[in-house]
Amino acid sequence: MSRTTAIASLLILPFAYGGAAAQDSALELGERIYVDKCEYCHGDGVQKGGTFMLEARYEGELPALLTERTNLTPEYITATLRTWTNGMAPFRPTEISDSELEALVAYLTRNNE
Amino acid sequence: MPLPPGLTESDFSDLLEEFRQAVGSEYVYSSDEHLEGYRDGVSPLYQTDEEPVPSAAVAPANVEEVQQVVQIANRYRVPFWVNSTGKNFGYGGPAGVVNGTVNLDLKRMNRILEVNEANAYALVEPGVSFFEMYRYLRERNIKLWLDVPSPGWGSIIGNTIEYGLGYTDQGQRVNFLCGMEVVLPNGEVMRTGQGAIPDGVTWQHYRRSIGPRIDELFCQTNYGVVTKMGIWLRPEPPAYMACSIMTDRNEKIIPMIDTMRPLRLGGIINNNATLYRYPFVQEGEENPDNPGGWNNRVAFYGLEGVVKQHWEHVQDAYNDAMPGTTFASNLYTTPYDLDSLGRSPDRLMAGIPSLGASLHKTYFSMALPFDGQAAWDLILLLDEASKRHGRRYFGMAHHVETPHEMVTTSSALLKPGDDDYNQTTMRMIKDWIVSTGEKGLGPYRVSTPYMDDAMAQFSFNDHRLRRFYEELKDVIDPNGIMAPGKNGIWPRHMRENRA
Repeated sequence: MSRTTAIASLLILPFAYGGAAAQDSALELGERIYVDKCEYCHGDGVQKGGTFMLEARYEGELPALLTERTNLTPEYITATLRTWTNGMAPFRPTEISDSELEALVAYLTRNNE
Repeated sequence: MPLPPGLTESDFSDLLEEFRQAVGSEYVYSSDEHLEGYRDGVSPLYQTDEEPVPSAAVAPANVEEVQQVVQIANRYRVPFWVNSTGKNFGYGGPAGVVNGTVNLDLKRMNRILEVNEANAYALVEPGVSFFEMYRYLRERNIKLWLDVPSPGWGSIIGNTIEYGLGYTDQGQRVNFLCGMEVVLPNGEVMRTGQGAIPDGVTWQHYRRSIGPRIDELFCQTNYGVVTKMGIWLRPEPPAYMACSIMTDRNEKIIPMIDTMRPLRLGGIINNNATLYRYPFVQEGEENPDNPGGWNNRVAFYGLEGVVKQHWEHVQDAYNDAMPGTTFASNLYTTPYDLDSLGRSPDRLMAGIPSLGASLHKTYFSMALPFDGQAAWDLILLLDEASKRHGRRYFGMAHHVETPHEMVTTSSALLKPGDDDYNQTTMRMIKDWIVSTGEKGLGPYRVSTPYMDDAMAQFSFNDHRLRRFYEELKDVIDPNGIMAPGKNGIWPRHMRENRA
């Protein structure tokens, strides 16, 4: 098992046993984390460097806004948030804790098919 | 991850346990996953054998916990490096100079302790970012503006004490710093200026005490952990105009700067005016035959009529000196809808934080006389040095920090995973540092791999200034544990590490 897969598995398990209420709570927290920690770069509007980069990368094949994506995986989100990959600086655990990362994963994967 | 220098596995285990008791086990990090964010992924040394990698990170929540962490570090003689929000990318990020350094992460100390609208100041902790402060002001409809650097995710304290620059008329932000609280390397807490008076009421009003003002001893150094800082803000002006003055040729930087100088000295232009490449092209993508011209961005703040009059005067001056110059301007008046400002320069000069896209650069910035020929000569000098490494340089950015000097910011690209390319970049920047030093010019700010090279340029009288810094270091930090090697200042027992 790769390192990122191992982390992702840990993240998903609490929701597997938490039921619908826990999932709703996680989504609310995840949205708050997203607005607070991600949107200034990945939001919609002027001077959003992350959105600008993803527009250039995907050229319309995928939405540039992360909130509109339906194919983000927990492994991908975790690797992007915790390692120097995909052109983004990692977030330290003091910026996004492991439990906040769990909620963020839940939020960004909520519309996955 | 490596062990701290001089510690055994057993010592290290004991050290982490003491840290856990001080700050809580949740806030001591030693796994590879958690420590990745404390490495400098924007360094030419990243993932090479020479990369200084942290051994652990510890995140206190308040000044008392900082004191405990520092006292523990003293007992173990373990070096620590401080980051406030860890976003000093291009200049080192959160990572230190020495392999195995413990990272002291202050992000949890993120309280805005006071905003005084009447007297236009704030008192903040190191974890407060420019984004957070801006949001705080806007959500409460506090009519104060904040000076910000171009990436808004950094720490107000961290950026200011690294001499970070902004774009407003408070752009030399360190001159708007008023009062600090510092944990000294022995763990004691000190307050500077009027804060040294118990419950001093003018801590954020008056910058001195009796005797010298010492706040800058904690800027770009390794003499203490800044845990609180006062910062002066500016009242919302009745009118604000953001302007661009554009030329089409690179060498026109000479008359452009010389035209601006008397306007800045005379107080017509008062902001931290900048010159950026125009049209903007990424490094390495310029046309060598015509790399383009310059965009001189200036701003005016005040009564609408006065603002307009100043702008007319500035245009007349440039038209007289440089026929063919083009101009653009946007006038904004109260009530402002700041979030609707679309252009990046307009936002920056109004102190609205943003975040750009490009991370993979390494920076070398230097002080320069406010003189057009000096700026042009520097571009030619850096281009010649770059050619020795198969690269080209056509200039990047100039910040008119004061009416007397400019800071030039030069960056070079890095390619993640391409060690040969990145090593060449590093050799080129070291060449830039030596080549400019030979012309009597010195760095304003450099990234961690070049700190010794930068300090070595200040060599008058057998490096007397560096020796003075290190004499202070030995007194203030006798165990030599805080940020060894920061800007070339080494503690006694590590001076053999100097590059």
